[in-house]
Parts: sequence; C-alpha cells; structure tokens
Amino acid sequence: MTGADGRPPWWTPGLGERDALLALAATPGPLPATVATRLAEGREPSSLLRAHSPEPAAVAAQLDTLGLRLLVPGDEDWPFVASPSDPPCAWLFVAGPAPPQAAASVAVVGGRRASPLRRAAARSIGAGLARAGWCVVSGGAVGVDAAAHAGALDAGGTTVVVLGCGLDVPYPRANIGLFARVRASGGTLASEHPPGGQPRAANFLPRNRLIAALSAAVVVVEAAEDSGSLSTARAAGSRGAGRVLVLPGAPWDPGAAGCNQLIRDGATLVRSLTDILEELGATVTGAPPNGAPVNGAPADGAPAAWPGLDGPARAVLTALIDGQLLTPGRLATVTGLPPATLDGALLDLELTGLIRRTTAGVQAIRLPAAQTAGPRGPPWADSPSEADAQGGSPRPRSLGVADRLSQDA
Amino acid sequence: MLARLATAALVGLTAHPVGVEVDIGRGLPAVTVVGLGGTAVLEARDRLRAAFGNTGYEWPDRRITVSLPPADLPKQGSGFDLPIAIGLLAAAGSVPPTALEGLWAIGELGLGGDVRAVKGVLPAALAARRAGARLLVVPQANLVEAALVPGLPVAGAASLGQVGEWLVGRADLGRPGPPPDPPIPPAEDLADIRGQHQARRALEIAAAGAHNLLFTGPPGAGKTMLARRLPGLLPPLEQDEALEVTQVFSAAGLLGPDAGLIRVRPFRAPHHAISVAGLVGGGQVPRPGEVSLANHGVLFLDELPEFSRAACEALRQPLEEGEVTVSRAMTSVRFPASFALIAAANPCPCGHLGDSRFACRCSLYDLHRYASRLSGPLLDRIDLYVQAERLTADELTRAPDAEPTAGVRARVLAARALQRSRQGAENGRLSSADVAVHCQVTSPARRILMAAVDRLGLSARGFHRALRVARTVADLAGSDRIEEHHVKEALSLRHLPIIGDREAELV
Repeated sequence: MTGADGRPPWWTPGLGERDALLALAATPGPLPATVATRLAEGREPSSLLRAHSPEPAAVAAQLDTLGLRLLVPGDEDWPFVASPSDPPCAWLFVAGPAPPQAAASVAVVGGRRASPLRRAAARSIGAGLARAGWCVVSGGAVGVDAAAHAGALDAGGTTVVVLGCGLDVPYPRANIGLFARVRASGGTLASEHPPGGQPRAANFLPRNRLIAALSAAVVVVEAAEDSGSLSTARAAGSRGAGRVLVLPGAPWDPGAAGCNQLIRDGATLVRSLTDILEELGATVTGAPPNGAPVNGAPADGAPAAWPGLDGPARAVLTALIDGQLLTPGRLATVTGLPPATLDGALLDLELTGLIRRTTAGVQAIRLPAAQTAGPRGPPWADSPSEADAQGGSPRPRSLGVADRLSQDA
Repeated sequence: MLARLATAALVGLTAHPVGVEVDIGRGLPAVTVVGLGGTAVLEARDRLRAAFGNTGYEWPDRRITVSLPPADLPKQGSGFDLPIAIGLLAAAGSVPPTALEGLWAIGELGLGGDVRAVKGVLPAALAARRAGARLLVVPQANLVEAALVPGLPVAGAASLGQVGEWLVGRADLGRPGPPPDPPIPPAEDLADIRGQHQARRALEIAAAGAHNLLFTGPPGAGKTMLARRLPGLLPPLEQDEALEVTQVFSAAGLLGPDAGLIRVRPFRAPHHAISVAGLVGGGQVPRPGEVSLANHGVLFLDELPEFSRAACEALRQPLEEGEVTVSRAMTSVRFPASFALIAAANPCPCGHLGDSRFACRCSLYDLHRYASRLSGPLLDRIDLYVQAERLTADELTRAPDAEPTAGVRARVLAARALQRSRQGAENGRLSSADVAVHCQVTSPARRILMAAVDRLGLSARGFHRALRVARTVADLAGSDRIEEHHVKEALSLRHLPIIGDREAELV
C-alpha cells in the first residue's frame, strides 16, 4: 500500500525531521546532491520521500551493524558551517569520528595516473601537513589520493577519505588496506551515499565539491586538462573561502596542464611545503640552515646542483624532470648519449633509487638531494633526511592546530 | 604363393621396419589384411584393386592374405599401398621372388595406378639403411628426400605400371640426380632494422648464448621483424641437425615435392589460438607440433599473453629438456624440440603503455591482470627482456645505417666457440650449479649485482639469469672475466615490472 504523494507505507504525520532525513539518505535512486539542492530550496524532507524509502528504524539498525553514523545539519559534530545558502551536502555518512571543521583540514588532490614524481610530492606534502597538525582530506582513489593519505599516516596524522560510493563498498579494491589504516589511526571515511551505493561516474563531481567544502585549502598536486582535481579546485575557488594552492609544471607536462591553468586563473603557486605552510598561515620560526632558503628554493631542482651524479646520469635525469615516461630509445634521442653509456647511466640512477624502469619506459621517482639545501632533500622528496629533521636537527617548527587556532583568535 | 618385402611404419619421428607378406592361396576371392593396420591401411584393398585394373593387370580372384609383421605394432597411413602391390605382383607369379630380396618400398597408389607422395619418407629411408636394405623404392616426388640418406640406394616410382615393368626387367625406375644447390642465405638481414639498438643487441646476445628472449612493445614497433632476423644470426645447421630438421618436416608431411635437405634454420610463428596438441605435438597418431618443427631453429610466439595457459605450460618440458613426449593410449613418442624461443607482447592490453603518441587507456587493475597473465613458468625460462620501440619517421631517417647480419654473426660464432671450449654448452643452457662454476665475476661486478638484489628487487632466479647473460656479453667481447660493464648490460636486459613497485605499495 502506498500513501498519498508517493509516500512510503510506514509514513505517519508525526515523523521527526531526523528520521525523515535518515530514510531519505538511505533511499536508493536520486543523487544525494540533487536532494540536497531541493532541501536547500526549502522543501520538507518528508515530502521528498518515495514509496520505496526504507523505514528509519531499519536504516538505523543497518548503520549500527556496519558501524556507520549519519551526520545531519544541526548535529553537534556537523563539519560544515550552519545553513549556508549552497550546502555541500544534506547529510554525511561517516565511519569513525566526524571530520574536523574545514578550518583544520587541507585537501590534497591529483589524478590516479599522476607521474611518480608528483605522487612522491603528494606523499611528502601529506606528511608535512600532518606534522604541522593539519588533517589531510582527499578522495579514495589510487595515485595522488592514496599517496597523500599514506604520507599523512606515515607522519602520524589523521586523514579524511571522501568516497563516491557507499562506505561499505570496497572501491577501489586496491585501497582497502589504506582505508583500514586510515580508520586505525583515528581518521574518517565519509560519503553522502548510503551503504551499498555503487561508485558511478556521476557521483564524483559532487564528491569533489565535498572535499573542497571539508578543507580550508586545496593543494593541487596534479591536474590534467578536464580532470577531477581541477573540479575540486574550482569548487574550492567558487566557495570563496577555500584557498587553492597549486604545484606548477612545464607547459608540455600533461599532468600540469590543469595546474598551470589554475595558476593563470588566479590560484596561488606553491613550490614547496614551506610555501604551503606559509600560505596556510603558520608562522615559520628558526633560522634556515646556512641561510639557504627553507626546504626548497627553485634552484634546488636545477641540474647543476646535483652532486654525486656524473654527466650522463645528470643528462638522463634532466630529460626526465617533468615526470614523464620515456622509453630508453627516446631517452637516447633526447640526451644524445651512446647506447652503452645510456644503459650504464640508467642502471646507476636505478641503483640510487632516483628513477624507475618498467616495461613502459623510464620515469624519475625522486630527485637527488641538492647541495644548496644542505642535508635536506629536494622540495618534494620524502627523503630520510626529512624524517631525521623531526629528531631535532635545525628545522623550522610548524605550529599545531591548537596554536594556530589560538593565534587566529 | 608367398612374396616378402619390407617397408616402414612411422611412430613419432622414427620409422620402424615392417615386413610385408603377401600370400595368394586357394579359397573364396577375398583380401584380408592382418597386423593392426589403421583405416588407411585397410582401405589399401580398394585402391589396389582399382589401380591394378586401370594399369591393365589382372586382379587375382583368389584368397589374398596380407600380413604386416610385427603384428603388435599399430600401422597408419597410405604408404603401405606400394609394397603390398609389389608383393601381389610377385605372389601372382609375374615376378621372380629373388627380385624382392632386400627390397624396401613405400608409397600410396592412386586409382589410376599413379604413385603418390607420402610423409615420413626420410625416416623410412633411415630405417631402411639401418636394416641394410638393398634398395628403397619411393614415390618419384619423394626421391630427393629419400636420397638424403647417404649409402642407401633409392629409386623413384611414378606409376604402378612402371614398377611392374621394372620388376620384370623391362624398364628402370627414376634414379636420384646430383644433390641440389646449397641454399641461398635468408633474405632477412639485420641491416634492414634502423634504430632499436637495444633490441638488436639483445638478438645478438640471444644468438650467442642460446638465451630465450621476450620483446615488449607497442604494435608496429617491429617485434616480428626483429624476431625474423634471429635464424640468420645462428650458426649454420650441422649435417646431423639438418637431417633431424628435415626428418621432422617429413614426418609432419610439410616437405614439398622434390624438397631436399633443409639447410636453413626453421622459423615457426604459430598463431596464438593454437591448441596444445598443435604446439607440442599430439593427435591420435602423434604428429610433431610447432615446437618440434622449430627444432634447431626459432619458435616465435607473438602476442604471448594471448596463448592459452595450457599451451604455455606445455612449453615447459621442451624448454627444459629439448624434446617433448607425447603420450597416447597406444603409444608414447618423443619428438626433438630444441629451439630458441622468442616471444613478443604488447606492453598492456591496449598496447599503448609508454607510447608517446597514443594515450594508454588501461586501468591499473587491467595492468595488474595483464602482468599476471604474463607471469609463470614460461617467464622463468626467458633470460632476456627488451622493449621494442616505435620510432618516429624523423628518428628512422636520422638513425645511422645498421650493422648487417654478417658482422654480428661473426661475433656470435666466436662467442659460441668460446662457450663450447669452456663448458661444452651454450650459456643459456647452464644449470645453476654450472653458473657458479663458469660465471665468476670480478668484485666490482659482484657489488653491482648485490646492489641490484638489494635495490631493484632482483630475485635469486633473476640473479642467475643476469649472470648467464653477463657471461654471454663477456664472451661476445672475447673477455675471460665478467667485468662491471658486462653485468650492467645484462641488468639492463632484465625482466622489468609492467608497473612500478611504488604503485603496488600505494594502490
């Protein structure tokens, strides 16, 4: 039996708003973002229920079984500002604690097929942000998303993974281990999709909006043309509050096409973790070692500053500096090295862990430590020296969340 | 009256001597063939009767019994027609029985009395020589093939009539002419391939050390073209090798009419849809498969991941033992299968991974799955891994002239001579124990290998592979010791992952 207005059979006039939202959130069919827009227009939640909407008690029981919670506006730990004109979502399913307020989080975004160098950058930025006390927000995809989470977790931080499917849907399969790690270290999995919701392409643009809304700033590590990371950055920009911090790239680097476009459109160019932390308002204290720029000036990446590399190795690494994948034959053309010399240089670079060879070709995975930066690694390298720095070597101390909040006040 | 002569039955590659006894006795007109003859053997009765009629011979309307001893050996094929016909002519009394002393014959009869080519003539000729045959009569079209066996008198028959006339001494059979001209060298020369330095070099190493090789590269990179150049780099076939190759082709029925000794190393490129039986041999009457046709030559498996898992598994025995055993309910036969394996694979399911002009459309999941299809026991037997690349038109025109096959082959032959004098086998066939003895490296070279184990995740198997390849590289350079740069070159030809470890760690 179906009630009036297509209401479900269990509907009664005395239904509370939270129960109505619970049923609505678990209703399969409409895109949560569409429902959120309707609600923002002033529609009653119960008027949007459908004949097949599940009973609130059943939904609550299911969430309990799965260890999930539903957050709705008005909840104490609702992470978004109360009743904005354009709400990022109408509800949020979470596994773990509620995501922190946007002011305490930074999103790190980029593509699934970002080059190893950019993934390494994401990892290192994730770690740096975590050490500085920020919560890292990102999607759950392989590539930059996974690298950012892994970096933050390595540094002992917490992260928020925003998914485009139900929280009980293991997607992508490859990241199940990472998700478990996120939960184990006190992080959160969040999604506006009910349990069992499948990862459809249409889910991901609203998901990106959610990532932007959950963070004070979006760091774009990689963005190809027309990519999802670009949409996240634009969502942050359009909300007005979020900062968009972008790693630049060479004009011919496909992984930087979106990045460079964002910079041209007015986003902030960042070259290093220091740049990012500065932009985020943390005060850098302590003198940089040897008076050199802290943790990365542009010169750090210049080939001339790579000690310990011989000429051929330097030529090879220079050819690979944009992170692109080059076949040995193309490398021979670009560097002009004779084949035997090139083979030797490739093997040397591989053994020092700077490049990686696959059947597809050669790619840089790390840049060598630069002379000007003293013992520290290059701007993005997640090098051991960075980890040592935690243990008391001269290094600017970044402020934690508590310090920063008290400063803001 | 009884007539006796001999023929041969093919079992696998070897022919077994088989007697042919024909008796014409009293009784109701009938023909009985005893001695485990297959369908084609039993059908000989009908072919013979028609051939006799059409040649103008009278068919003996009496009780004819044909026995093919040994009675417990199954016999297949149509090669028994001619010896039975000769036996009939003799038993009917039109031929003196002494004419059949030490006579061997093999051949199929047409209804018009013509003698048709059969397969397995070369193995039969070898069996005849072993048995001390006085003369082997074969179909005229197989005469050149039969004449390959030195020391065995052979004659070619074109028709039943000719054979009948010869038996009574009124005509002669065809006699073998002078041996055919030496073969022309293969037209495929390494000079045709510009650029592709690493792939050319890998071919040279593969030829020198008998290493198996896998080319990875996008469609159009020239993987097939490269593989076709390998036979030309290998040393010329020795006489006994050539005979073995020809024997396999004869048993498979692939020798053309008037084909002489095969002197060029075979190059076999079976399609990836091939069945296991087609690849390693089989069938109710076991026939040699592609691995045996590639014996002493090159087996090229294009699109390796598309071959069925069963087919790849079946390659294990031939790759390890150089021969293959086909077991059937009635028989178990061994075929030689000692070949150089060259395989080719696209880098990814769509073929464009690493291609600068087309974006690869495969997901990481696709790549992982593809990589797992490639892995397995087959890869364990491949020492060399090379990326073939598609060159741009500009790179093609700018590439310097490539070294022709002749120059490379000279180095290959020298390196093979070194290996023979040192260890009596090619480096690619060295066991782990032999590697420890013959592949001593200098200490800087060892340091590089250990670093590769540490940092590049080189496995124990990969370590041995690198040592074997480095040994060949050193042999090509005429160096007794394996130096640092030899090891470096070997490591640059190692098995690379389809995607990097870091993805494996981050995904």
